[in-house]
Amino acid sequence: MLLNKRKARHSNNPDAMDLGKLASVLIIFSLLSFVTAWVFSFETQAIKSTDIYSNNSNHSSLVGPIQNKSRNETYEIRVKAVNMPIQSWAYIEGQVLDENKEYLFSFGKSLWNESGRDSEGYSWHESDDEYAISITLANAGLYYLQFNAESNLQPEIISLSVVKKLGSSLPHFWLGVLLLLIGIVLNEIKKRTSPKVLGRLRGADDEG
Amino acid sequence: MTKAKKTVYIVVAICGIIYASLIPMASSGYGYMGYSGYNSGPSFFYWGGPTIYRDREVRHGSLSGTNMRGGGPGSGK
Repeated sequence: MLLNKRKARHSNNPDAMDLGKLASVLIIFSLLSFVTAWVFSFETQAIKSTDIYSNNSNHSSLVGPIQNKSRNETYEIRVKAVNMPIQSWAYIEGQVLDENKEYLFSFGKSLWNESGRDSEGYSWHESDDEYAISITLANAGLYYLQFNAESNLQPEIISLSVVKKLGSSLPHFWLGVLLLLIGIVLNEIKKRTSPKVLGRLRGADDEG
Repeated sequence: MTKAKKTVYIVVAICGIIYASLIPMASSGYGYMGYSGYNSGPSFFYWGGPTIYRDREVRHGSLSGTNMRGGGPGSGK
């Protein structure tokens, strides 16, 4: 009866806030933000693609030069260890160098390939053999990448690729998350779906 | 125009302004390593990638002389 009174009050008062409409607006903007974030993650140009072979005795390779034509361009660097031996790990570090081959910063991750048997005798196999990093090169000019690998058993090939991206997907992605959360909360306040769902589940449990 | 409609239009305008103001930031690569210079790391909102090292590891006193190494575990980090 209280709910019916509230509904009657709302329909009589045209100035009453319609949380459902607000929720819809926020959810639509969140979807738009997610699509925009996805668009900004598009690759616009393949810059470099090369393989480093394990017979490279000093396990270090210089890639480049990479010509950054304008300020604040976004790139994605992908590193993949191809044909990693079983029960092996490899720490692959990449250094970003400027045109004078001076160190700017570096990044790295441990890749691995493992297998075994569980307590019931079933064999399992897991691996993590690639990673990617997005970077922004602030100034125009030439850049180099230097890769070093340390491992217990060297992978056959380390495959590297550098692609240029449209931009950063972070701002719109997080805006989308925030708007979606607020929209869901407002929709929940308006329609109160959780108590209804919980009530139905409780009813189903009682019958069972 | 009712108050409710006005509120919806205001919310749409605010969301639109925020959305549009983020476009230049996104085009400039906001949040990734290098956006705020090479002495500060990526944004708090960027996570899940490889470990990033900003500092150099300059090895003095070794037999082969000073050597610029990176930031990973093999470089003494």
